[in-house]
Amino acid sequence: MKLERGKINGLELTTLIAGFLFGSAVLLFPGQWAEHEGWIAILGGVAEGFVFMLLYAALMSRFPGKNFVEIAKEVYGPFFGSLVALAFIGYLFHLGSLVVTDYHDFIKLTMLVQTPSSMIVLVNCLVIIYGVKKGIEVIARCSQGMVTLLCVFYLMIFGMLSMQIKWTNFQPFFSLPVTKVLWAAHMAGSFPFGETVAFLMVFPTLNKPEELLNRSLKALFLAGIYFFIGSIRTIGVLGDTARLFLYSGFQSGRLINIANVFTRLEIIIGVNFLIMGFLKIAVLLYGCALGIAQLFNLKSYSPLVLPLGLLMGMLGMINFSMVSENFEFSSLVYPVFAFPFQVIIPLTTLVVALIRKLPKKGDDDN
Amino acid sequence: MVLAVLVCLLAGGCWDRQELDELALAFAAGLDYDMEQKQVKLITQVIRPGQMKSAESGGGSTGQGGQKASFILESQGKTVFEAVRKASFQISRRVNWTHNMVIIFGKGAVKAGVDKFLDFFVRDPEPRPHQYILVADGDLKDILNFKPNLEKASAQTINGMMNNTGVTSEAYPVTLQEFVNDLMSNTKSATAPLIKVVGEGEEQKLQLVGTAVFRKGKQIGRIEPKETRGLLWVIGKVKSGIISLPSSDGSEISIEIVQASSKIHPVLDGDGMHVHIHVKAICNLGEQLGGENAKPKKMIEFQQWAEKEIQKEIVHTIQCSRRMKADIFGIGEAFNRKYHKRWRTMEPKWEELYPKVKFSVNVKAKIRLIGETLIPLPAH
Repeated sequence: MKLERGKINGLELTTLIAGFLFGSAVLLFPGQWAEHEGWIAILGGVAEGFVFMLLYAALMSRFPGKNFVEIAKEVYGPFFGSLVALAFIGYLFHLGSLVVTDYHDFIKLTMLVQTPSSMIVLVNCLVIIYGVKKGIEVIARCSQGMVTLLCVFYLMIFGMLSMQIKWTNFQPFFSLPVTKVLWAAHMAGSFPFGETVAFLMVFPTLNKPEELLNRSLKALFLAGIYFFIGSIRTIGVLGDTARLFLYSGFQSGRLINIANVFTRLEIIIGVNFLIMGFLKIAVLLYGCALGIAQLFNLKSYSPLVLPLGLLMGMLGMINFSMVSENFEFSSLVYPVFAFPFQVIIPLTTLVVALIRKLPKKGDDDN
Repeated sequence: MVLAVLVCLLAGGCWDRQELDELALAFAAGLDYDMEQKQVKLITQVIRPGQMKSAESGGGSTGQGGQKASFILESQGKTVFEAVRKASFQISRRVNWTHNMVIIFGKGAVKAGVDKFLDFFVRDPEPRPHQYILVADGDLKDILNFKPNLEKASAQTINGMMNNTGVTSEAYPVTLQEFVNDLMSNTKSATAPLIKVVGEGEEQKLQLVGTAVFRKGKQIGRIEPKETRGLLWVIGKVKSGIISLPSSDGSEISIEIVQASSKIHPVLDGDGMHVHIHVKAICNLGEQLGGENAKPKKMIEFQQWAEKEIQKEIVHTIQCSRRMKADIFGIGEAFNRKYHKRWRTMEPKWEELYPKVKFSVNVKAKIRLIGETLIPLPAH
């Protein structure tokens, strides 16, 4: 019995992954830790993301048509499999709440200063819950238009700021300690590239499974190029001051000034984030709801979406007591914290499956 | 139940509404510091939106009903933000900073170090990074109280002047973003234009009277308008301007700068630090009082004169900066970019090293157009 009957095509998968990657990274520039060498960190992060994606694709091609919860149950047996799946779902849930936190912090800091937090989160979560209830097909189809829109906006912003880019801001090359740049690259690898692990819940809905690797790598490539452009823009325009700002990408948008007519366009970057954040949270919430439904052998995941979505929103509000905590967590703790979920669990699953010679022949009909 | 949810959702957007008639827009901020009482003094120029309409009633600084289009609020506080809120406390509306155009520092602020006062303007979401930074030469309040002739508020005048400095390139407009970038540098000296009210009574006008030079946020000196152009030549920010000089046959000529660019090449070798500055200027002949026809040979002579004049301006500015031990050109950063490893040992003592840097200035001027006449108007 299948819980999800929706099918998405290759292009939709590409845009969905790209949108997921853009997510909050549109705003929280991933290579910021490496200061003026952020662009190197991004390239490193993309490389790491490619490796991750190969791993996930290998796992998927070994168990065609099954998502991670089903795979875990098969590989580790019902009991341990459920534990592993639960940990994985917990990670998705927590990650979703982190994105909600970013969402909320950003809106609260820059736009709706006096609006209560619960209001901001509630309104966002309700939209996302509605989207997820309609199923993965709807989200994936939304992503096509949204990501196209983002690509246009993003290039537009870059074009408007290109006159202000100072190329000297990138020099001296390779002056920072290597360890710092590597850490920044790993940060970019774990946020956002490694988070594509959530797609282990979505991949089985692809209508042509043989296209999986090709389409996902295209998405990584697209997101990588855009982050690279973004880092060039942010570093080139802001220079040393990039490390001052929490949302340095947003800040660079504030500097748009064309003949004193086109100003105050940073809101476009804000809107990009809001749209992409929707996709990211929606995919995570979908993964969570579907995973739990399968874990407990429910007939449908849709009744779980509303409570899970609201809980995600609430956790998002209490994740951190202050923004600086969030910043420290994401720069120092998260790259280590996420590693087991992004690499170790999928890798062990694959290795155990190889050792146990799973899936057994004649056993792949379910 | 449904109604309650609907009200919550639909009215949620009204929490942060900002209606124009409920706002007091700040156009300029004057910051000063009282050393003895350790108080930040803030002078906010607030405009009356109703009086900002286009001037049917005769223009000038008064609008309909004879009310002034702007007024100032004075407030004090231990920090800038405290003073900002105290300014709002004096009037019926909250002061909104999103349209602030200029930040002007007073005497006390530049003595205490301006870096202390800028955090609010960078941190708060309301102020924009495109505000201009200036330093008051003279009384801060006079500048903010100044009644402009063309615009409604003095902030608009200053903003316009800053946008318009290209006509002579004798002032260097600095935005908050650029200023903060300079302040964050360990070696570069930040600069900001000096502004002053000159004249008496009806004849009063605002004037840019040079550039203030900072080190670690404190003003350590100033350079004159002509020397400011020398600075702009080196950093390649000259937009336009006039070089007037006597030609060999005694006639006066004006050369209009059309375009300029520069390159700074630092060289570090055995016998010390050298900096080669290459400046390229494209000019037009703007005016010639008598003298000979503008033949190509003559033009080449004019070019050489212009080159010498530009070189003189630059060398003069370099001397000034050496005297102040202030690296206003960002030479240190140029060294950092090229000789990063050796720079690390130079950086801590850069203040002492900078006057020892040997400059060589190389100017190439090119006169392209000569205007719409072929020969100068015959003079008798």
